[in-house]
Amino acid sequence: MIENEELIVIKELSFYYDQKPVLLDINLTIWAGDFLAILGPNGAGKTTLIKIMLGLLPIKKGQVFLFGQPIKSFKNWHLLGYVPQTATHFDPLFPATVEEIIAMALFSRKRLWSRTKEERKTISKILEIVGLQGKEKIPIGQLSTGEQQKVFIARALVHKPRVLILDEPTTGIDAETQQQFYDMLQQLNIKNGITIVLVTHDIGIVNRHINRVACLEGRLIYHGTHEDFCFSEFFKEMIGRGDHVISHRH
Amino acid sequence: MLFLIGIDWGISVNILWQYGFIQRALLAGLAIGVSSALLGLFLLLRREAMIGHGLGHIIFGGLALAFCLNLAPVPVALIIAILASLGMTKLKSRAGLHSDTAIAIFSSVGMATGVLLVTLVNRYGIDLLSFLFGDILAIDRNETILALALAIFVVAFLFIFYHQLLFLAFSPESAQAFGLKTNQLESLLTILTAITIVLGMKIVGLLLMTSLLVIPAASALQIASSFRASCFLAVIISSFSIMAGLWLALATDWPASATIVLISFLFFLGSFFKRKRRFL
Ligand SMILES: Nc1ncnc2c1ncn2[C@@H]1O[C@H](COP(=O)(O)OP(=O)(O)O)[C@@H](O)[C@H]1O
Ligand SMILES: [Mg+2]
Repeated sequence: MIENEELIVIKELSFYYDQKPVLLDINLTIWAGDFLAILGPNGAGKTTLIKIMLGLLPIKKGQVFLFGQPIKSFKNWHLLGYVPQTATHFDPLFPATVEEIIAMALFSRKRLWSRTKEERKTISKILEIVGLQGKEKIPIGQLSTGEQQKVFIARALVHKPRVLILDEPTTGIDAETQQQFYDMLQQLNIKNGITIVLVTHDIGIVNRHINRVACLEGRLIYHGTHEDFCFSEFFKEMIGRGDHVISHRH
Repeated sequence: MLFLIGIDWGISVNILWQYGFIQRALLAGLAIGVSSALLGLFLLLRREAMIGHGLGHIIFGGLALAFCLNLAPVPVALIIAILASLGMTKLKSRAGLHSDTAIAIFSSVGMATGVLLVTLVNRYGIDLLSFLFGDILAIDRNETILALALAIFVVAFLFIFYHQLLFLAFSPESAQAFGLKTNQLESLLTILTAITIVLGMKIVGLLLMTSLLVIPAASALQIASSFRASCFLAVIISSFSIMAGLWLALATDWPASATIVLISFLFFLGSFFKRKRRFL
């Protein structure tokens, strides 16, 4: 890994839905090895920003570079893994097993119906990493929300991305499971060297896992390392306002 | 149970199989049944069950137009079906209209146009009726070949794009973020479904076509716990309904299409009560 490699660069990005401004003049760089938390209240534009980074929304003003390439000509989408905010809002009766869900991302490029032994191994290995070993054959709808999120993380990881982007992945998951969940992400970040972009409106619970913070409220009002953030006015202000901040220092 | 008395239960499959029209009914029926069972699965999972039904009505309007203008009915119906299905997909992604609302509007307009044209020109020809209630026992050789070709094409398409289509049906947004060309894939699937419905209507009629699209897939979804199992079950249920329906129709002299539909409905009832997805 190149030191200080810039994976995602956003320059002077603004975005409007119809006439309504949502993002204003955002400059943000995501470096290899970051565990970045994008913080902000509901409606701050977090999901919008992420969708633009993934090419799901058109760029209206500004520039986005992925792995050094302008997003328009970027082709290596397998370098990014994405777990949308609505990942768990699927039809609970959808007839698909855990294995089939993960296989979607593994095989859809190769256009093959069947899977080889080796590919099965890849799937079972990735399930082990997210802590769902042996659950290949279980229908996705029969898992708990937390387990479902892990399946979607496994799906986002199975094609070996460099960056994993998660949009509020722990909504509807109890606090204890959330901790395990963030521990797992931290492992992926430290051990496997995967850059993680985590959208959340709860700084408290991710506090001890992240190493960089971006605060969004239409504009990017803060971007820096986690240590600096803890001493910044923003942090005090957020705690002072009491919004979304529960201090969980360990 | 009185109606069972007149049935010749001893009817031999071997003897029947010698009749060309029964061979064709079976072959073409199975071909249409396999195509529509598989395509129907995607329609249901994408919450577009009404598309089959709606397209049938719209195609009826198209056919009436073709008969009025003395044009070849199948090409006209194909063009109208493809345009209408793409239009419905567009409408769905726009302006907060739910897809079933859009389809309901489209289909009733199509049907109304058809009825109006037919009444105006006063040519409620037997040809038009055959598209509505088509007779599976009156299929000719060309239609059989057409049905087989369609089935091969549909199965090949689904085989090649299996994982992409599953990804699209399950989580379209992630599929797009993953770099899949979801719009193109969606259009291809829609066009293929439209073609299947038109050819299916020509070959087995609107009634049988729309039910083969929905009932086997719906039954499979009741009991399958994996997508692969759903595909196999839908195909098996569809094929078995067609075989059993044909046999029963021949033994009793009941109308074949209606018998097949009712038998597939028995499968649906059975799977509905079995439910809780423990199968395969
Ligand atoms: N498809 C859309 N059309 C119009 N406005 C939207 C759309 N999606 C989001 N918005 C608006 O954009 C703003 C930012 O939304 P979003 O990016 O989802 O915020 P966050 O993820 O931070 O909660 C909100 O005010 C929301 O109402
Ligand atoms: Mg959001």
